[in-house]
Amino acid sequence: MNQNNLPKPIVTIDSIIAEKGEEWRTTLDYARTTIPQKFLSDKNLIRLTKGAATISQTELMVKLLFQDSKERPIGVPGIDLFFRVVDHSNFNLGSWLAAVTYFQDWLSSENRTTPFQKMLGYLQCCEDSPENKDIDHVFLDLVADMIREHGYVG
Amino acid sequence: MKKHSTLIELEKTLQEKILFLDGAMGTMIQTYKLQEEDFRKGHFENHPSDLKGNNDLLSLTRPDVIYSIHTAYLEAGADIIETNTFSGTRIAQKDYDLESAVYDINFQSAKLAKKACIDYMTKNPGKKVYVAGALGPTNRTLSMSPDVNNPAFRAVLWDDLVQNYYEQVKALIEGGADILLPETTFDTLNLKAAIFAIEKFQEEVQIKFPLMLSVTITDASGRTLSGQTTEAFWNSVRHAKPLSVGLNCALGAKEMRPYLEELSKIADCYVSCYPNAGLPNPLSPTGYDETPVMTAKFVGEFVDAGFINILGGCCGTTPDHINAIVKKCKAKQARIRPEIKKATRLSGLEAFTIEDTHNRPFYMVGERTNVTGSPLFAKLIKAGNFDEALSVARQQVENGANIIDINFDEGLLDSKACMVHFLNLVASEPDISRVPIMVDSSKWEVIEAGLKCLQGKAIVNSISLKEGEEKFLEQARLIQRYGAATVIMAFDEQGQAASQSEKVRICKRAYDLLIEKLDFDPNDIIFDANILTVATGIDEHNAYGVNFIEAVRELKRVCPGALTSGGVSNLSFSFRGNNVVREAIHSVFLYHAIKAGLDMGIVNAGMLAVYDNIDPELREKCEAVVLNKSDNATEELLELAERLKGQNTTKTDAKVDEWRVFPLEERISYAMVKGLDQYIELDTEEARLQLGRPLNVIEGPLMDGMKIVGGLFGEGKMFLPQVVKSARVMKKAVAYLEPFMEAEKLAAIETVRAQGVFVIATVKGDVHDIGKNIVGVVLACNGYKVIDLGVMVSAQKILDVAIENKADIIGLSGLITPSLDEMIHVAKEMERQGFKIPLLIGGATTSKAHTAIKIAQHYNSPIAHVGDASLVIEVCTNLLSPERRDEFVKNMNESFHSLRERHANKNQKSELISYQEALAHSFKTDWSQIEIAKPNRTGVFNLDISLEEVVPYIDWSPFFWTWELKGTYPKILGNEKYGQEAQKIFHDAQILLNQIVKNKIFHPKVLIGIFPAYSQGDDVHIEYADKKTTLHFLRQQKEKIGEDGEYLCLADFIAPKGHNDYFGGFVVTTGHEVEAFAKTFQDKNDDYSSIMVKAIGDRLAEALAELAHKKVREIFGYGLTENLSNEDLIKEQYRGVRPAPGYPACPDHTEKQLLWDLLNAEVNTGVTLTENFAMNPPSSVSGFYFNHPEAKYFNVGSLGLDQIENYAKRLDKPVSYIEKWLSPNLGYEPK
Repeated sequence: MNQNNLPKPIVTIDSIIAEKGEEWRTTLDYARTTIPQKFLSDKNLIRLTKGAATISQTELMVKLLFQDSKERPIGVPGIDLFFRVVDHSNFNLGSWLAAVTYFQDWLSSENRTTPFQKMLGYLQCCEDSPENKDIDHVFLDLVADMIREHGYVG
Repeated sequence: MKKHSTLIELEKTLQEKILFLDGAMGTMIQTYKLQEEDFRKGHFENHPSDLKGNNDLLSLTRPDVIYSIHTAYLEAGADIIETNTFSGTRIAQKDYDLESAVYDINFQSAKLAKKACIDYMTKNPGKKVYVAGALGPTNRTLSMSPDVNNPAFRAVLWDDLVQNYYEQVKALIEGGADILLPETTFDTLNLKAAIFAIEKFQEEVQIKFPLMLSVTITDASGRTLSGQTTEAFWNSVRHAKPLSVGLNCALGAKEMRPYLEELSKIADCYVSCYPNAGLPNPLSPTGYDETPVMTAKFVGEFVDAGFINILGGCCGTTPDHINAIVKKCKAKQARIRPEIKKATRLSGLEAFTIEDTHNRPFYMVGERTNVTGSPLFAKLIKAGNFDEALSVARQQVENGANIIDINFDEGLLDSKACMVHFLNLVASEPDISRVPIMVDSSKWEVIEAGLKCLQGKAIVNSISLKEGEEKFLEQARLIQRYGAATVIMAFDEQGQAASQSEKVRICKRAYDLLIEKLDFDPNDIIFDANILTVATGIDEHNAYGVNFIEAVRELKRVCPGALTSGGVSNLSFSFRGNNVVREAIHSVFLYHAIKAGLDMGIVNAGMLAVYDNIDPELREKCEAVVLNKSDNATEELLELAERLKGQNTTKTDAKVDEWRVFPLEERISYAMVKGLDQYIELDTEEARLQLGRPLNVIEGPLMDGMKIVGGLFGEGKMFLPQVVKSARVMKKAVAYLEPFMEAEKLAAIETVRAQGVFVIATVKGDVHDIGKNIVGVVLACNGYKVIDLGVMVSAQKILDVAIENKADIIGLSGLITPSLDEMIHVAKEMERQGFKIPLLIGGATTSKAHTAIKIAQHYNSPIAHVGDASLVIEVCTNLLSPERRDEFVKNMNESFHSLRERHANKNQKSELISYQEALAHSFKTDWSQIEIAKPNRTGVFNLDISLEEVVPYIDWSPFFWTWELKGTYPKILGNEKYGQEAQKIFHDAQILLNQIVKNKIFHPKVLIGIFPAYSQGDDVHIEYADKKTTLHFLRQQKEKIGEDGEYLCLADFIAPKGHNDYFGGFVVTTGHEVEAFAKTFQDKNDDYSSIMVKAIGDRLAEALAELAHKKVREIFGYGLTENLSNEDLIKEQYRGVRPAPGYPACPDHTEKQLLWDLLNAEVNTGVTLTENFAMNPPSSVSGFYFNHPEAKYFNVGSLGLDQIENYAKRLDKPVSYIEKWLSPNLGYEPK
């Protein structure tokens, strides 16, 4: 039914490396050898990389997506879920990657882990928090406030 | 069936040594960096879609690559290599449209692996290696729904999956596989389907092949993806009698250890393990954490611990890993298979084991989820209310049922469909599905349908010899194959056994047949020797109880290993309506039957009296009946039953009165805390007489009681509904004292020492007051004098009243977004008029950030934001305490300052695309291809909907949120923390609702408008009769990254001119009677009921909107074929949407006025709009209808100045006007 067919420029992993810098190559190569296309296609890896501010954000996402592919081998792949959530949100991909990194760092400092899907659910709750009304917030601030005030049960 | 020679050979080899599997296939394939053409070569050059990533194809297109990987593993020391067929099913290949290639993939893969083995054995004479045909779990799951909104949905069905696996198994064996290896099992039910297919194939060829099973524990929770523990998993699949069972994938070896240890203890077959090479690490040379040496060290330790018979590797492992593992472990001693105790091993998500010992306990099978025995359950199922029916199951488990019996045998029900739907729902409820299920039906097709839904080891209830031996054995054989235990009823071709000897004879015959003909595990046999009704007045029935008990005793002797069970409630049917006697009979019967060896019974787990607690006379008479002690036992019990009729079985009455012996102050505190107003006037009078003056009673025991309530609430030990009930008790006591105070010329509560004076109001333009009323009650409970000005109160009135009453604090409340501006106005006025008292901001639309950034800057005295009622006392106490105030205000100002600073420094901008670009990438429809729904009536009209009709459409979850009880209905009723209180308020709500409905207290109104319409850009034009209206909508502009790249606007869902599309709108209201009825309670100082009435009014309004939408969908035709339950409706699983102006998809509140004009809503419904577009009465709902098949809810989100300017032009309003009403959506700072 939907007839959207936007012409999109062809971007390859090599061209994104050329854009971001050669230092990203190792991470992207390993992402490619670690996660099958089914769970992270080249197209989505490129999108992810374009939105990431740092190499470590991409590395973290690769790890989380790999783990998610093992925990949820069926259903919507983690990356598609992530992009859906970002598109439904009023915050951009960069803000989401920063929020994921912040949350993961906090979990690590607490010596805890959580499934990727639950992490996304929690971060969505941060966006839906009663505080996020009428005023423009930085997403990271909402996440930090939520963790500080309510913690995380997961 | 004979064993395949390889099976015999492997069983022998594994007794002597460890065997080694290969490592990862995918990891090795990725090192070849193959391209799209490699996946097509020689076979699929013209295939229309991408094939890269479909590794199974490489067995056909690049057999050289796969052969070399197999050879590398064999040379590394592997004894068993797996075929490259992980995705070799039609279901998995469907992703690539290659279902037709499935047989070839499997056949050629097996042949290729076999060739690698033969070549290797030729080069290495004396070394025997094997091919394991790998069967992946597929990308669908039988136990879980991929749709979170529809937990009963399944993307694949059992029969399809069995067919898929059968095809794969056949091809693998025909291609030369020696072993079958279903692996990476994340859903046990998928594996059970694979086992079913394998057994079907084996039966056809009459050969048993070596079978290895491997499960994946997905994370540190120690469960499979479908939720089972390791032991529960094993209990579910041990009927396959595999060569080995083990773990693979998801975890590294280190993390697998506890689950492997458990499996090695409970499995009576060999145990395998092939872990990942740790966790993925992009910075490590192998892409995974573990080097070959590390993995070998971990698994070597497993071997030393005696856990292992077969070792290998999964993701990230390479021939180097396998080589290191072989070197480390080949000389070590293999695990010796343990002797496993005989037991009935059942499972849900958790294992449930009934050990074969003499002193085992009695187990309860919950009987309430049976439509033939539970009228409540039957009613819920007939009404399609499966969600609430689930709560019946949950209660059974909570009340201690070890197993739950589920039965839908009722003439008017589609039993098979009900069984499947309910079991699928149960599967998504871990607190229910943790126990095993007893699938109960007299119809075999229902039983079989049930077994196809259960990943755990279930019990069939029941089969019998009624239709002869052949049928009996055929059904028993299938039960074995489904991996279930079974109840055998004492029936045969001649009918039901009633005497002891007949019961034993029939059961023994069934037992012998099962053991001799089918090698049935005796521990999986459960006899039900028929518990028949006693005390019917027919003499021959008198011995039924004792016959059963004695039959059980004999069956335990002659059928070793088998269990016994029975449906206990049958016994006392003669006493229906007399629960005291029925419970006593059951307890007495069970007392004796258990002693005789009864293992389990189908009982109401929440209704069993304790044998020793039964009244001695009743117990004696029951015993006489159950054991048939005398000829007149029945008459004597009937006589006693007549006397006991109507007696309550619970002992709460006695408990209620216990507190009445407490000292007076304690009685008052108790009444306050428990919200009991039954005796409060009596106690208040006693206190008045003791303390001399009414004021002393209020300031003394009553205030002390409320302090306890306030303290408990503050500590989170009491919940809001309890506090409001406590306030009702307080008010009743004060009302009682008022005449005495009048006599003393004191003005009631006014004279009482107050904590402070609090003026509270809902601001101008807003009518919502439930939250405000709750805050008022909480404050009053804590000794504040509360002056509640009601709703739609102007700033000046609030300030005048505050001055007049020397208010200590002012509180403002509001629900809709425009109220925020009014709050700013009040703050400005307070500053201008020189106020210094604190201002509290609260209500659903407010936030701490908004208070800090937008309100606080206009008022230089303390401002605080109160997020919910539970916080208000702490804030007020601090603000009014001379000692704590400065510190509190300083901290608050600092936190406001940091919020302002954070906001000022915000450099995160939403990435908005231009409005023109968003328009170009709108959601597009080929209008010639879709069917535009045509209504059977148009124009403005009322629908006549009665209260009775609307009640079933109530979504109760928000009702509990009003009372600050967090959770969703009906689950909240069983919530550990809130459940008890939730049940109480729900009960009270039902009583009030019944009263409202029965006495027609509310008069709901439903106004609908349906008009021809067309879209033009982001506007929708309506032209009907003499009406011409244009509604304006907004379009998303935040840049999208996902696949669809659509920028939505509601106007996209209406066709442009020339396609005859329709647009709709509605206004529904529960009516002004809600406020009036609530006031009758408020006038009686009953805030609890007053708030309850308003909360019910709101729920009814939402339910009206839901039902009205349903009827509108029927008017449009497409709703006529809907078959949705209430929960489906609540989850909006239907075509079409009904967004409300002012909410995320159309955030402009001002468009509501256009709707009102279009429908003449004020005249037709009595609902008016305030200056801020709030609807009055508050229990009202309005919105638009869109019927497009793909219409959906979305959030418009941030908007750019370009769209705002365009929108202002379309509305013919100044940009500043639009910016005021859309301020939360502005993606820029307005000038």
